[in-house]
Amino acid sequence: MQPVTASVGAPDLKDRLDVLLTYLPSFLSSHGEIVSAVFLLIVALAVLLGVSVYVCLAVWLERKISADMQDRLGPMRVGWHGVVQMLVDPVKLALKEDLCPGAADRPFFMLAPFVVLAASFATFAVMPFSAAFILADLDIGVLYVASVGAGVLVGLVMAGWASNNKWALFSAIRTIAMLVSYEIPVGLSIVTVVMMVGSLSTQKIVLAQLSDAGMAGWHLFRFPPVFMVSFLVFFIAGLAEVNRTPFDLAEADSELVAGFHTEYSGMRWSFFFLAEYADMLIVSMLGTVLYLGGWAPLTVTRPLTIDFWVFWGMAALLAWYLHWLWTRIYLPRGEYGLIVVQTAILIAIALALLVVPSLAWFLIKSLALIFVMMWLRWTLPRPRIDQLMYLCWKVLIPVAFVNLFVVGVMRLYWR
Amino acid sequence: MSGIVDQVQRQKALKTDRMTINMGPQHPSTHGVLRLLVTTDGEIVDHVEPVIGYLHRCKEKIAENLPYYQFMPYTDRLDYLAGMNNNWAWAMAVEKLAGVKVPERAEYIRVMFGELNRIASHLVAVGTFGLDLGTFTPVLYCFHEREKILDLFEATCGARLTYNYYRIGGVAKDLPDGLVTKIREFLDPFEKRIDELNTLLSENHIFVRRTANVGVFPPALALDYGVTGPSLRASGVPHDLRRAAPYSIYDRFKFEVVVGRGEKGTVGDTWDRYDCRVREMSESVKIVRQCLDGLPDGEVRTKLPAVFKPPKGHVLFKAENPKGELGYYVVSDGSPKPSRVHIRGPSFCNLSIIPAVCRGVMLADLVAILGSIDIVLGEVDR
Repeated sequence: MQPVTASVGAPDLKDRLDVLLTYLPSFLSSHGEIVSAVFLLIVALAVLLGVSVYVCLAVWLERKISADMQDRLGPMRVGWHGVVQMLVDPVKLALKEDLCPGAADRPFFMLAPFVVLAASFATFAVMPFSAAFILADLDIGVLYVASVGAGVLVGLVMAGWASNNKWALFSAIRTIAMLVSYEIPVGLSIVTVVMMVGSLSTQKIVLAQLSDAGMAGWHLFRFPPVFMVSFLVFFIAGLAEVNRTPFDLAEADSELVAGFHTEYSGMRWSFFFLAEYADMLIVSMLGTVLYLGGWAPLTVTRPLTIDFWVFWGMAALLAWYLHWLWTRIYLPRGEYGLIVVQTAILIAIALALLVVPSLAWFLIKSLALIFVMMWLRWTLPRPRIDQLMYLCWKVLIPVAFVNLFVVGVMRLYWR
Repeated sequence: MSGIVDQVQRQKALKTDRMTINMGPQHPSTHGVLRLLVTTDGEIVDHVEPVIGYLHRCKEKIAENLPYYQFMPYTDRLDYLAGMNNNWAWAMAVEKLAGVKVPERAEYIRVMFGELNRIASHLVAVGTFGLDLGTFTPVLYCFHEREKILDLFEATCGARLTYNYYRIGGVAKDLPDGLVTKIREFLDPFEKRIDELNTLLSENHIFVRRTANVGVFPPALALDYGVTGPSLRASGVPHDLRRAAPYSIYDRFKFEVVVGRGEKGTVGDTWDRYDCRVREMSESVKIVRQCLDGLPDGEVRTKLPAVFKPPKGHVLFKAENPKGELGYYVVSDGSPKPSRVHIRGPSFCNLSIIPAVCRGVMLADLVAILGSIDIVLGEVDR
């Protein structure tokens, strides 16, 4: 440490820097929470960025998957099979004019997209990406997801009301009715899992499912079919929670034009879009955490477990199908190169699955659920609002209650 | 008395109000520039008033200023999803007025293309109906099939939407080589496609729940409003001009007049109207097959003078179009141009029943009912 040079006048900048550098380390070491706060901020930004990248990817995937289901090609022009579309779409949205209708309630209209986005991104804080990678392992983790996630409702209602558009108002009314109702079956399904684990912490819920038997340890397969029903209720109600077709009544394009985001454009509109896809990821991740073992990897290498049979059974089926395809289509046309590439890719995927880290397992499981959501979206028509309410109050909630009761009894007598 | 007073008091305390909302002219499910003035009580529709005229193009007035031949392309643009049928009705109206004979081969070609266009029109109706109910995939499957029909039309007359293929006294030109095989190639797998559509959409539980018992047209009401076509037949009235008053050569073909059976709910509900169109497609396939089997050789057009002057008189001709009865009332004063033409558009008459049946339905049902009538605004406004 250098001694402070004697200077008679006012302390100059160098002196102040010296003082700062002298005392900062000791200050930081005595205030460790600041260090961890800065660190958390960086990690949080990384998650934010990651989710944004995921949204771009999901939009491209949705377009390709829907195209595949509809005998179309989907985006093909920008990059290889339209992959660069992922970058072009956000750029286009950012460049668009940000409109606000003259008669709208300007402050609320401007604020609504941020409320929606903040509420949905905040829930990622308690998602256990892996054994170590979790932003905040709260004791009330699952409760936090349910309650903070409900903040989306506030933003959507704000948007619907502030737009001063009758279609948007309709949408706001529907949103309130739907989200408030569907919170209940989601909550009840979550409680069944919480009762099994005895903790609300997301990390503890995953750890409770970690077992040598792999898939057999998942909550989904506990007391069959109790938890399967629970998962089904959770997933159906979750679809409604995130406004996803067939339950996208709040933005039913054939009835309400575009619902709450009718008047929005450019970046503000894209925030709703971002939030919608982020919400899908949240429901999928929560479903994975609660029922599908979270980041717990599949034990495909351990012989004679369920995982072993499922994995190698599917591999055998795939091999049989590819053999059928090759011998009938590629071989007669002499496309040996294609066969070699396909085989190489499959072997690479199989090898990768054996060694992927738990973070990847978590993402794979979540993305699989997202695929199911997309699949449903492009297959099913949309029910009417009264039918939706019927489904919630007269089907899902009673089923969830019975389930809860059964789990309670099991827990009492069958530890 | 006190009950009413209580009700009024409650209403004052709650301050509820009806909302008047414009559905259209710019709205995804009004199938064009239709405007519905809807008064709603929450989600429940209280009153609907269709406001039309956004696509009015003075078709009838234009007809008075054109020679009979030259009005043909304008008829394409009435119900632009069934250009062939519109052409055909105009040709037959003028032929009836002037007593023109049509060659045998031309009659077969006309029936064949009329029926193919019926399939194409119903495919759009069925597909967009799915779209109205929030499912996006069936419409693309339907358009995939329609595309093949349009390819056949394109090969024949060069156009894909506004054909201008029929002529007074026949058709513009003979079929190109190999078209008969191409039509057969289209028809063979088509029935399987209909089964596929039934699995995907018609039997879907959500779809049935959304359409069965919704927007029932009682037969008497439908007749009062002049509803025709599949929308009327769905109510159980077996009225089909092809059978009731066979024009052209329809008396030679075996086909079934499809009527609503109330399979999923009440006779005449939205599901029946949808289902009638699906089943009519199969019937049209049968007629096209019979046409192909009996297609004779010979001329396809009767030679008529360049300046065509039908005798003095007037004629009303109605044909069974995909959407319903298309009628032309033509008055001739013996000059080369008609003195008056009136067009009875089926979509226009079918639309008129909307205010009568859409009381107390949900907003989403209104969209479903409107989609099930299958209107084309080009024909509503003319």
